[in-house]
Amino acid sequence: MDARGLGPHDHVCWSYDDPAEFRSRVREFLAEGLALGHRVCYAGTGPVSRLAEDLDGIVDRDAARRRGDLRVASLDDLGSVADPRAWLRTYARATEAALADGYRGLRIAADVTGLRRSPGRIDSLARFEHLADSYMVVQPLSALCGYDRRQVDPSALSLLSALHPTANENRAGFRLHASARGGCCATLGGELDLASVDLFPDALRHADPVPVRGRLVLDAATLDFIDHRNLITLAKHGRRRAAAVVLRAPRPGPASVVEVLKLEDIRVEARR
Amino acid sequence: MTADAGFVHEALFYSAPAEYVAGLVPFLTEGLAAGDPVAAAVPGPNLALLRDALGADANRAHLLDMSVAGRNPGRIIAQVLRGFADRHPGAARVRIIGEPIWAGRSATEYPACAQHEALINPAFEGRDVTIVCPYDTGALDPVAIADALVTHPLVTEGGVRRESETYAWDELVTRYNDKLEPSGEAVTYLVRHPDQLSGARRALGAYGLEYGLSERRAEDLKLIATELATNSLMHAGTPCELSLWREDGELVCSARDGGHLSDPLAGRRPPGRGQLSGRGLLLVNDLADLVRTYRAPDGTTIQARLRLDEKVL
Repeated sequence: MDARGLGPHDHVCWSYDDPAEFRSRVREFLAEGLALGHRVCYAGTGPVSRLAEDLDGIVDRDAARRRGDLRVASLDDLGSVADPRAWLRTYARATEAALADGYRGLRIAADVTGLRRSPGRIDSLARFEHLADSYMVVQPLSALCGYDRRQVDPSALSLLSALHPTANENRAGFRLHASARGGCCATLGGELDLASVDLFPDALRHADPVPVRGRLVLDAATLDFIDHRNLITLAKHGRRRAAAVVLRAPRPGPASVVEVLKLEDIRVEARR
Repeated sequence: MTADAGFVHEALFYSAPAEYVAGLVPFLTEGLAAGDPVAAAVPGPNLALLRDALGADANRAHLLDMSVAGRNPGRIIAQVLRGFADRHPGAARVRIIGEPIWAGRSATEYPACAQHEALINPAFEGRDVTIVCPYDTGALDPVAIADALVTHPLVTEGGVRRESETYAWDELVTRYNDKLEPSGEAVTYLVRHPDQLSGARRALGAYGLEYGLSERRAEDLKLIATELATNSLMHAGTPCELSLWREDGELVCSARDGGHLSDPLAGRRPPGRGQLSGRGLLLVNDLADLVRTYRAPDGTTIQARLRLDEKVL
């Protein structure tokens, strides 16, 4: 698996054991971004001079940097991720600047491992990932988020990968991410069973998709399975947000569970 | 019957349609006259008899075809009997006719039907509900008639009501606790860890389609297998052996674990707010065409059966 062939709205979680392997993915992801006419940016923790070395081998790196096609930034200069909305504003400003400078979009490859350190950071990071995801489905921003498996707690990594629409490895088994489908507050995909029973409430809490007019409509077109425990988690989340949960699902499974267990807070609609 | 207090569970023996109508319709019309909520869940042809005899009153009674609603006897208490009785919490008395046993019940279904009749007793203990269960003495096996005397404290025959001398519902539950073994031809998956649920579920779903289940029923099979194995992992705390095989016109999905399922009413209580356990089995009872359980001190086997023709609902 590699990081080629991705589009202007893609948001990929890449967990790795070998930093050199991740740098190869970064180079191919950014090289394709340049070819698409996007401004590309590489970010990570640590000094910019050291980060720039990671890009050795990108064709024309120094000239691209001089032209402004390729930027290297340190996440250390971005302020604390404890304010995920401020981070999102920074990403949004950078995207708008790229468009204003005549690029067709912005593509960022970032090694986020260095931000993990405390549990509070993981919470903020998870929240930021979902906020950024919601921005990316509508704006021409694409991102490759790198996480070093050796340094990030496995359950935190499962949570972070579940909040991305695409991941090279999704140990959570399910995905909860932004939806480009009109009228849907988020997308719920994959499989939810006993293996996800602890992680799913966390993912819902971090993503916290915003109900619209009292309805939390989830695009469940790619939801392959959900058992009754996870449906109850969803019902409880809806109750906390004072919203009726609507699953737009092509499969009958959830509908029979909702009916038999009389889960009054959830409706299953045929997908439109 | 106005003197009845608490729960009344009565078998009514009949051998002809006229006897059926004469024995049951007054129970319904007296109930309607007293303002009691009234329901009848009986097989289609008998439902037609009651409907005709009730005439205009039929609209005031809740009438259900038991061969559909109660195809799996394991769902009758939650869905049919308590499903109706619990909707009328303020009623002085709720009256229900329930006929879960008819001549067409197979040898595989029958033990589960008899156990269901037995379990009605603890399920309704102390409630102001009367349930009358008709038995066709002309068509049913004599064993079923004898069993009705074990599962019902009261019996009415030829218009005369008496106490049963052999009433002992728990004895019957034990008697029909048949050992259930997977077929030698079954495909089997051992689930030791939650991460193994996905693979087992996918494989079973694919086999289900191959054996001829519709896509909808294959999804039901995946839910059944997942909920059963989840119960094993959570409540038994042992691995679960999931097996699937074809037996005549049915697919059998069996889950075997090393736990002891002590609650005889597990999976038979309606879902209540805040009540989180027991819902998995409730769901399995609703989705399957038949559920059989074998309880041993050192293990539990639950077999859920799906007919290969479509579930009629």
